[in-house]
Amino acid sequence: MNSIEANIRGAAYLVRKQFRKMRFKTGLAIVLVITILALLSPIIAPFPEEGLGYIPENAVAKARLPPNPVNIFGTDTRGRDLFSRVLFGAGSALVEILIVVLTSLSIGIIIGVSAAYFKGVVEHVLNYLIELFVSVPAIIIALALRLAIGPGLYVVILGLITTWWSWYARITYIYARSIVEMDYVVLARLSGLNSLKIIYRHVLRNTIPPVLVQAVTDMGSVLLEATSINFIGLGVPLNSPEWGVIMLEGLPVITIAPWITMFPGIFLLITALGFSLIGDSLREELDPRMRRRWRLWF
Amino acid sequence: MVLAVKAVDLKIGYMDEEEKIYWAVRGVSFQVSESEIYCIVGESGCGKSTIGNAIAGILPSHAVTSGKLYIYDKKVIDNEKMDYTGIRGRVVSYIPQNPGTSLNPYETIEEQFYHVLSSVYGYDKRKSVETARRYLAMVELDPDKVLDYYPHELSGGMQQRAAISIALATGARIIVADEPTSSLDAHLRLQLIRLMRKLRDTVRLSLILITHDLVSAGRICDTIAVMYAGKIVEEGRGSLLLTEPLHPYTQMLVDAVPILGLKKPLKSIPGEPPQVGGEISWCVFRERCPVAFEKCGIHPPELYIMERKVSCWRYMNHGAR
Repeated sequence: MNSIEANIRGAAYLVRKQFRKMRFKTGLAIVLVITILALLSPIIAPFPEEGLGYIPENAVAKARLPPNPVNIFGTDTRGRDLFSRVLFGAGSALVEILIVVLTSLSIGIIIGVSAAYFKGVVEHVLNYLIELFVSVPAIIIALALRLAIGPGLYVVILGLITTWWSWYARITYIYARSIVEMDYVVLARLSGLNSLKIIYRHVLRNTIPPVLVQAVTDMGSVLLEATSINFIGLGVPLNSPEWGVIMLEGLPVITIAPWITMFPGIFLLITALGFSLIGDSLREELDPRMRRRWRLWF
Repeated sequence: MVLAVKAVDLKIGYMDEEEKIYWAVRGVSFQVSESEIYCIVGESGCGKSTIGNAIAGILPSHAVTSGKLYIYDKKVIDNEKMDYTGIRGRVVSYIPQNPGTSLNPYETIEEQFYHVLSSVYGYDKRKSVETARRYLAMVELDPDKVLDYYPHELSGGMQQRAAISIALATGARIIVADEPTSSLDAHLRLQLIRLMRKLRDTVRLSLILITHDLVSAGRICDTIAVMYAGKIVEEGRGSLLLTEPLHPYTQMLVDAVPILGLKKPLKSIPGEPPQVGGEISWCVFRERCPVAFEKCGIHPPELYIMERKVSCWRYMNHGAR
């Protein structure tokens, strides 16, 4: 009894260990495949026009076909090839992720480091600002933008950036605050070295790696949140190839044509998982005490 | 004999947010000549680190100063004014107390050398590596290995020695070392003491050593100054001061040092040092002094007796000048 239990435990441990080793490679493979699919979508997609939103002539006859050799993912309610649409959706997903994360990361790092380095009034004002924006939900901003300007990808992107930067600012601030108290920063400041030089050489170098890891881990969450804004119809126009929108279109017929919601859902899940896996393994790799020879390029 | 450091009635305090000043150093005068090892000992909070920071030019911006401090010919502290141009990093260098927080964990030792040397002398990469090799060898570290290492790959003693060699590489004539031996093993401490003596003899370095460790201080110092509550209470030749302490505080401090292998009862000094704060017009040690008398209500002058300076009324009538 005991030995069986021990064997099961041992096997589970080995599986876990193997999985942990594979995490980074699996995550990277997923993200690379999705990126390649997105870049090559005009070539790979069997029906590129339908993928972009064009409704075919015999739409009624082709509507809601289950997966078959011609339409491997089936067709949606308007007779468009679902595979093409999901492929084009990968492109807009990656665009959303990259723009949102890179922009909010830059804003967040600048604000967070300034708050930690320049102390005093600057610190207080910036912290209030950060707290203010942390408390605003992205969907509310997206709703306001949608009502004010109209539908489009920028609604999703702007809505998300408005709130996400504050999280990065907060994390950066927390890390930078402890770095700023280190002797090598304090003494460099006292000896009158240029502030920008100190920030670049000492503060940023020690702050960016953990924040960057957080950003990579967050890419999955950004995708999920962007998709959910699109899913409730606040973001891009309804015909666009976007996973959230495709799922929204498939929602009324989910009982008779489940593939319409299922395939974009699976892609969404796998992409989010890929980013989380990369972020998670980077977290361990980038810890200065865990790594041996790992040079960053800044 | 060239004077490296000279302080005249130096006072240093820290100002809090309500602009109240807490004096950490309450008027000290001392001289350190070239190639002298000068020790400042005393218990925590007596102002010894503050003096070290003042010499090294790294007082924080809320520090308040009064009196004068000269480094070679330059007047670096002139009452409120501080001017360390051309002194900080070039003439005076600083060895920090904790090497773990003074080396950037994301930079190799080579880069740390480069940053210091390029900002002080504008050296290029190749020249800074050459210099680094020379100074790492001086502290008995292997340059081929250590240059590529990150600080966490070195042990505490090696980090300390790397920090020392960076401080030396600036070519400074005066080194301020703030408790450099506090986190080291006994044998590393001995190694460091030998290194410092060697440097003093070879490069004619003046060393200002701030320490708790009376035993090492006695072994390596030319002059020891005992500080108490922001004042220097006794100053004299190292070995003599520890074997024949004159000031009651020094006597009690020497008594409190445990001796290895000797079963003597450990003595502590009863009471607490006075709070850092306003002016004190009486003898700073009066509250804890076992032999205090009425005269101790006035702060004693510096008396010269047996080739040393003592601030104690007891020696007034014992041939002191």
